[in-house]
Amino acid sequence: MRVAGSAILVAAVVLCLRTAAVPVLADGDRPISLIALPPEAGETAHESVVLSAQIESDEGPVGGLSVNFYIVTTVFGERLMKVGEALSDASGTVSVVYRPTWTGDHTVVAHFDGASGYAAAETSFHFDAQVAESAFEPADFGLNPIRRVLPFAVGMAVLVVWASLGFALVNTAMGIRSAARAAPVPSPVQASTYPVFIPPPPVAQDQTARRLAMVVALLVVVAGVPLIWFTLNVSDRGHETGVVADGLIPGDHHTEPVAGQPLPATLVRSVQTVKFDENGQPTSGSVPIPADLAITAGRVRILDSTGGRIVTVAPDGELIPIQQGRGVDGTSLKGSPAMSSLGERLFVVSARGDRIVVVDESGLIEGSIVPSLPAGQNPVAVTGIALSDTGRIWLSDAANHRVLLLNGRGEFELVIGEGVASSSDQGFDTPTGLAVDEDGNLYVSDTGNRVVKKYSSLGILLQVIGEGRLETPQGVTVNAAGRIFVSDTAARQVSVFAPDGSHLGSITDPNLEEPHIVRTDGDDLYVLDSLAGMLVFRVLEAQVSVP
Amino acid sequence: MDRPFETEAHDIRAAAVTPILQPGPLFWPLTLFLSLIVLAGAVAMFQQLMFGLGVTGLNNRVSWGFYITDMVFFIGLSYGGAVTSAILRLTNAPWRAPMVRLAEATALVTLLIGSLFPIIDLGRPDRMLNLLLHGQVGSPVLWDVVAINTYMVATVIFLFLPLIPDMAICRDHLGPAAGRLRKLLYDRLSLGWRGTPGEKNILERNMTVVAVVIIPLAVSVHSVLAWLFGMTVRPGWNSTIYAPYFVVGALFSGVAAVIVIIAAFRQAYHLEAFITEQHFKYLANMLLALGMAYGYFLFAEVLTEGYKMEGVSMGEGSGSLLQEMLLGRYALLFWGFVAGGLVIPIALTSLPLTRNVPGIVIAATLVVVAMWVKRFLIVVPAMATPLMPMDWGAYWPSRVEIAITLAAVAAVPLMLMLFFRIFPILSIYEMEEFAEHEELETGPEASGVAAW
Repeated sequence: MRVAGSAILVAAVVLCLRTAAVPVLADGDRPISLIALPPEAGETAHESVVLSAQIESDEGPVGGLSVNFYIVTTVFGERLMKVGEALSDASGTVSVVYRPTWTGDHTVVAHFDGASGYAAAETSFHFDAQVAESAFEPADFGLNPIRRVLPFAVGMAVLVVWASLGFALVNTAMGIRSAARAAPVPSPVQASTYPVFIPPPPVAQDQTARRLAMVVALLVVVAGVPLIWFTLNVSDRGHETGVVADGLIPGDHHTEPVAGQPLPATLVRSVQTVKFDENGQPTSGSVPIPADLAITAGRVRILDSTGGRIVTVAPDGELIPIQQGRGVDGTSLKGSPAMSSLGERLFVVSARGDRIVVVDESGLIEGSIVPSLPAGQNPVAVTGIALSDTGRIWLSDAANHRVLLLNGRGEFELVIGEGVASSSDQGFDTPTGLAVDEDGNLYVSDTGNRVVKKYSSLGILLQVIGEGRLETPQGVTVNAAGRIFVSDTAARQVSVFAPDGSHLGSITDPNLEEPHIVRTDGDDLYVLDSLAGMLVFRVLEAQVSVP
Repeated sequence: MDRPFETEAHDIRAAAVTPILQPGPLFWPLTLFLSLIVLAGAVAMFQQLMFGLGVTGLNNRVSWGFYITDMVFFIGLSYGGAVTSAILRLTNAPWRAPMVRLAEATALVTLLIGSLFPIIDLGRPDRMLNLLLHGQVGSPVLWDVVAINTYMVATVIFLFLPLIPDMAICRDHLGPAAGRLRKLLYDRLSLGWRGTPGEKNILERNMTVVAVVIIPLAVSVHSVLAWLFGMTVRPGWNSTIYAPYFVVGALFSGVAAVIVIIAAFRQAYHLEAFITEQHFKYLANMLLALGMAYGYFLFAEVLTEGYKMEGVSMGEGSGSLLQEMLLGRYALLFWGFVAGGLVIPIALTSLPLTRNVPGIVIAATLVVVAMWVKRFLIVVPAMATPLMPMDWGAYWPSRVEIAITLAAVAAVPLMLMLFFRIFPILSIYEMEEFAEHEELETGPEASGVAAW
């Protein structure tokens, strides 16, 4: 069987040697040739194929060099998928065994990075696989025999059910026909069971009921037209059509967010937080889910929650990790949800919300501030942090719908919120982003209530901003002029408000997909977008006019 | 012993065909009204096909919303009719006879509507083909489709078999009043039935076979549906009790739906002589038992989730989900369900003062509405719960989703009204068989059944 399979594969493999060696020379490196060899069926399994190449220099075959083999995939764009790495033998031949996971044409790339004084080289070739194994190979564990049998057993059960149903139907039809043939004349049973049908006595039509029916019909038609109009009047922009959800989520407002005037803003920079290397793999600096952003002394820092580190954004857009270890007390940033800055220090909330990690300019963990909270105030599900100029720390606790104020030593000072979702002045429904202005006033993005609330440093409500203007406010920030910027995730925009709370307009750049963090630095507005990465807009004060 | 119905034989037939011959003055206005709602849903569906799922409130975080809620809800409703009817048939409960037709038709109609929602939720209906071309036998999705389709076929057969003798009655006795097309339909669907003992024997035997098959089949449908959730590692869904939880929930909502439908048609077509208060009390007993069972499952689920409280300090996971459910943004819906779907219906169906037709129908209506809310609470909050320390997902249904959901709700009475314009609303054959059987035991005078 295996021999037959191998023979089939060998017969199926159609070699299309296409490219000769592509040497890449560097100073002092000797040129080298990488020559593709015809693929052949492997010995380990009949589905496998041996991919080979030969390395030759001017002096002949070269052994001991490492060559990577890749398959070109077209899933989610054309990428290179590494299938193996091997060292060349004394004859200069290097081989890897590959088991195709799909049938058809395969493009193989063999690549030598350059080493031992030899220049880099690359070659590619094709083969046509007609035998492939499933790409979804189940994990190997003890229940595998059951897992293999189970679908078959269930399938058999389904067949038995279908057969039973089919039998019942056919047997009934056939049985009735044969019974009818056996008793060609009306049987006594039928005669006695089914007498002449007595139709129901005619009911005199009540004219009142008839008129009522006509009126109802008329009303139905009149009512139906607005119903059809209601449905037809649907925008193709789904996020602008959500209105009735208010009835589903208690505490929501019953108004549709009003689209604001587009605000003139120029996109001056866009940084992808996920980058791929030439092999299609995410680079070491990639931040798949950027959690928060802070700007210290002109340097942009991004909190990589999944990687448990902080990266700085270089001018060329490169993401450079500056902190990825543990503090002396074992503190890790893994899973940290939020970050803020004061001076050149960064304050990062730990994953469990039980400490605030202080990171210095160089990325060194200086220590931790452990919140000292009275009984009943734990646990803290922190989603936002902001620091006042005096070092007081505000934390938003989304799960408990409250905002806490700690002093610089982590001692509890104040709490705003009722502990449950509320739309009252001193209540929140899922507070998320926080910001503190130069006067020490606190801005809370009250996501569930779809507003931003402004409090004094003593926790007194001063202003409710954005009523009827916001869908899902997340991040909030205040610039030097007192303008309030609110990222609206569902609306895919950043709304801007004047210090008096009036709506100035919205930044609706098509690059915005899920903006969740906003920070300002001079005229620049930094937006961290869960999907689009970091975007920087220039919003000139002169362009922002009160409507 | 209470007799299931006390009436003349010809009255059974007259009442059964009343919707066919004399549908009443409100039939056409109501049909028009319901059709308009369905039409609005069709227009919304067209919008969705034109512009894609972007016209819905579904998004990256919450990709299951109203549609999946509707699917679970409507398929659950189909349970009440099919399983109740099958169980009562197998236990030979005589009181079932006047209501099985309504129950079985409800089962079929709600199943047809519910099975459309996975396709609607796809956004691209043509991609259903991928299930056949690239189906994975290890996936609950594949088996869900298989189970639903098998269940649908079984439901059709289960409804059709007892219709055969009724079709013969209509064929032979309705005369020109039936109209040409209906006459042709009756002729074809009656399969030449003449009511001989041999035919009855075959029919009874095969109806028993289908009744036996349909019960495990119905259980499997909702179990597989539950596994779509239970086999996904998400807070709220990561549970081992989901399959029986869903089955009991489906029976609970299904029996409630049967009560509401029976009450509506009983009122509209004056079937009080056949479907008595005693029938409602029997059904109320089932509703009560199922309500208490569902309450127990709910308690077990909440207790287990709450005991673990996974990730409560990070604002993610079961603890946070439970907190939002019990005290947070979903608290009104959750406690509304507990009050409206469990406490009040259980009280209404158990207290002697309210254990009458209006009380039972109010209880059943509350259960139907509350069970839709419960399905919403199963689907959406779990999707919105962050798995990473990030913000909660948000979902607001769009007008398109609301229009399609309302259309589905309107389609149930509409399809039933149209169905009973063609087929008898009462199972004449079974009612006469029971009446005849009783007559043989007690005599015609005692049974109140005329010698017909």
